[in-house]
Amino acid sequence: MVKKNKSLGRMAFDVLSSFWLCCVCLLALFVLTIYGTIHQVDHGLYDAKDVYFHSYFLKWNGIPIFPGGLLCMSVLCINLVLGGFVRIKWASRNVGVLIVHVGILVLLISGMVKIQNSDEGHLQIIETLSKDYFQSSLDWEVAIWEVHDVDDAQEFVIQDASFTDLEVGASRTFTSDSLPFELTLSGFLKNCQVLPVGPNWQVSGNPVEGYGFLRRPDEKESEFNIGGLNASIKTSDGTIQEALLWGNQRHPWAIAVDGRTFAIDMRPERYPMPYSIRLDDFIKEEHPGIGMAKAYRSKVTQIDAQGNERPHLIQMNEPLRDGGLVLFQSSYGTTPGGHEYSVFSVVRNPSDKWPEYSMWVITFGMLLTFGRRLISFIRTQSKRRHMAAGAAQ
Amino acid sequence: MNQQRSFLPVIASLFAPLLLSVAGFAQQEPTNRVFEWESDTVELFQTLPVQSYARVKPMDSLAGLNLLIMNGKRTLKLEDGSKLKPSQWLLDTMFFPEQAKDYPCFRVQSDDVLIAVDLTPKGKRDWYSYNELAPGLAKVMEEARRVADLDDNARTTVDLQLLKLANDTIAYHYLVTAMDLMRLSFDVSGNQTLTEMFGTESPKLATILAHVPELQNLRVARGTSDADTDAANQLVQEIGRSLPSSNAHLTFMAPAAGSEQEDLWWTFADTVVARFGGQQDVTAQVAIFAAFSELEASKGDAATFHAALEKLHGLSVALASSRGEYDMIAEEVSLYKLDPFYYSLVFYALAFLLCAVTWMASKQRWIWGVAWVFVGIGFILDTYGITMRCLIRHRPPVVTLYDTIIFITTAMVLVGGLMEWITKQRIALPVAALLGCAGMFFAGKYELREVATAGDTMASVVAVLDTNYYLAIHVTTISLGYAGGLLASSMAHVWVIGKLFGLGKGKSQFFKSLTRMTYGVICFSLLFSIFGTIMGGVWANDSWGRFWGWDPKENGALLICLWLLLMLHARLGGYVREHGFMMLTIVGGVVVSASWWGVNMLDTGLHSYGRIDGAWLALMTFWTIEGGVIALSVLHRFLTGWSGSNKPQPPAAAAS
Repeated sequence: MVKKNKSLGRMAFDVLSSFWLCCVCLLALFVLTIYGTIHQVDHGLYDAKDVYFHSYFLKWNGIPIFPGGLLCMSVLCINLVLGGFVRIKWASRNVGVLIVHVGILVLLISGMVKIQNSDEGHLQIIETLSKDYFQSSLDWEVAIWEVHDVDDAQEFVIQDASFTDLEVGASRTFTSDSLPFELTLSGFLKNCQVLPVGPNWQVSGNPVEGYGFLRRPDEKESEFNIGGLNASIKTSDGTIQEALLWGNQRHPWAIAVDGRTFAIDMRPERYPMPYSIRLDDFIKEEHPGIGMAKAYRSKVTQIDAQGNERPHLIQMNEPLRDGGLVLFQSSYGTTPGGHEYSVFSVVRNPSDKWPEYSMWVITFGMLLTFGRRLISFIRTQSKRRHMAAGAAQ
Repeated sequence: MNQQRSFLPVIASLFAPLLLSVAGFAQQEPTNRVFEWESDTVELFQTLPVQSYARVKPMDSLAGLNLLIMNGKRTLKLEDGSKLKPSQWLLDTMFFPEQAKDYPCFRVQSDDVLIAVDLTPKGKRDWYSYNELAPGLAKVMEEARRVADLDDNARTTVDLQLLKLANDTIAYHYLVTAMDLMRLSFDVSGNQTLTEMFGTESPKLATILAHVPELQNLRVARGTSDADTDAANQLVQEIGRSLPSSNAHLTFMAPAAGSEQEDLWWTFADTVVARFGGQQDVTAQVAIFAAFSELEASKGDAATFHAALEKLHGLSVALASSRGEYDMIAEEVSLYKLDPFYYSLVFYALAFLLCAVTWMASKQRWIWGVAWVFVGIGFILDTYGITMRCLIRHRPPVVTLYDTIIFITTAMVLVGGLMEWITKQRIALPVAALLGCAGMFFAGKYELREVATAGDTMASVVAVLDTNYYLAIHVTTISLGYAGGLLASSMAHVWVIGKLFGLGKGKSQFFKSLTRMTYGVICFSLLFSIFGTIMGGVWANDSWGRFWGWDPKENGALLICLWLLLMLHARLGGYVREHGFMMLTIVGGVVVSASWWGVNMLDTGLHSYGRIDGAWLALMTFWTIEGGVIALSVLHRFLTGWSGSNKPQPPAAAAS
């Protein structure tokens, strides 16, 4: 028997479209999901996501030892397209399977779109006040603006990715024609605390005016980390001023340069919204006598750029969807001054509704496939019984 | 009671009887019941409405749930061998507390608990009366305070049982002192005006409440003597001192219109306070208060007690009905009276036994028919129970973990029955009967735990779960997915047992049918698991703003989907055949158990509603047994050879 040599492309196609690869990907995802779930107990959700699900490889001492979630899902996507659409026999009996594959593909793509193109954050509003931006729970930004009486001051914003890679000892300088100084950022710490320099602890980075950063271990829940970095400005006459920028500081760093005053602040990254939201009333209902929350509700007013107002009720399981944003009732509280506030999770996700659509597609496909097989099974059973009865007679 | 089962806020209330003896004085009443409870009296009492754990329920449910927590059963066996039903026990506890305190209604699971509080154990896991425990109660409370301060992981089994005993005795205290206010009399013999006003020198609280306007006038009106004003003020102060400080007492009446918390029912003390406050119309509440007082006063005679109870029943029902809170009370009493889940267990057990008989006497077709009928009755009972629970709560079938057990069990019986109806191989029906039996047994055991932690098996839900749409679709379909996975796993066990013990020898269809059925059930499970999992993501997208968050519960559901997909693709690819597929199916059962129970125990993530202390051991045992079954099957396969039709075949060339 002569063995026919396959081309490299054909071999690659066979492998990429094989059931074998599909099974390997599913098994790898299964293992990752188990370990990623257990990992959360001690290290928190965000760390588990980073290590297991949003990574291409799991690494041990920098060496890849297992495929990560992103790699598995990417390969599964390719396998699905090649095996589930190209290699599969396009016959009427496979219509259901094809539909299921379409749904799963949409689901996987919606996940990719979400990872690549979404913004997530929160919006905390005190009753009667309004806001037109939401802020990140994880990422920071450094904002610089000139302080003057007019309210429309232009802000210069340095985003998270521009300074979070700066380890202690590394620095980066930022300049702008509109600013009469250059700003140098250095030594970003993911979680730290500002303390007076003392003999009992080691300062991370450069101390400033007797204060320095104490590096703290990462929090289990990443949103509780408070970042910090060293900042210095150099004016045109060579004067240098230094400060510590810390995510939890109450007031921005104010500097005077050439008779003008500037503020520099490290704060959670802000995302503008196409409208403002005013919190009119927050309502919390409890089940009688047991102190368990029954419902959280926020009566809000949406105010567009023209000043038009539209009232909305945002409550658990009933978010506000508008302008590409979705606002969810997330939390609530009372300020030290006794004012109630409401916290909304805010998401900008282009693939917001895609999973729901995919769910109906997948379900329809599965009903078609399994329904067909069930009918065929019932017919076979019936036929077998008739044959057995005939043989007995 | 209208509070979570926590002992700390209410310890002070244990000393309430002391306060009562200072403020008013209790008149001599009959302490022991001298008549048998008539069935119509008990029926009236059963259907009295009471609010407990945020839900208006019949008195019978209150009694049954409390007895279940303390006693481990809904009925109480007395030392003379007689049995009390829940409502009979509660009647005695409320109206004849001194007699009830001798009833052995506290089950203590460990002797070490009693030794720790300087009491002498009677026997292993024995029952004790309140009076038997009384000498050690101060120590119980002291120990419970210590345990409450400990971290969850630092608590030993004895610590947890001590805490439970403390909670149980406090709950019992509220029941046994429920009518204390009704027994109080206030001495007004020193003042003629008050004596004439109340018509007696020692009026009960109900009598005083009927004259509150006159009493208040006396306190402020001009023209009356200082002695009258002083006596009236003193009386009101005495009443104030006699009211219990805790608000955890039984809430027997709906609040008056315009109350601060319109959903929260009132205790007797609330009624007294509202009556003296004079801000609301409390006519209905005062009438119910008076009816309770009359009931207490008439407890020496069965006929007068029944008449007083009829009057109270009419008033209570009218008030609750006016708020639409009495609709399902009778149905709830019927549900507990019928006890459908217990009897379905019995029918499933009988059906399984009959199936076993048919294996030995296969020609007796009528036995098989009876087995079918018994499974049918069991299924109807379960369906009735689930439907009634839905109607009572106005919720879909699956809300709590207890619901998942009964729903999944019922679904397994249904699917198993359908498989049997289609295949007629006499395989799926016994499997369904056995699973029904095991599931309902487990449900009975778990009910006790759920009641002990949540106070009710129809407990209120947290805000995020307060959506019938998603509860109905997501939770129900996920549960159906679990049911499919477990049913398939059970069939795989039958396959393994058949191979190990040669059960199907000579019947070529036996193993083939089992494999086909298992495959079918796996497809069923996959359909509902995938739909339910994605639907859960859609719900999460509406609740928390993200479709998928890698939360442990979500991951649990994903694990099932991934495993089922892996099984089907491995089968399609030819990497596993009959034996391999069955082994994977057994692993699938392990994955379902991990998703259903295991991830709850990680105590992390947004779905941490279902944490159960001590369930790890049970899960680990289950997983170890399943590992053993797989190992045994593989070993058997190895010893009997990998030859014949089960030899793995090369992968199929294309997907089908």
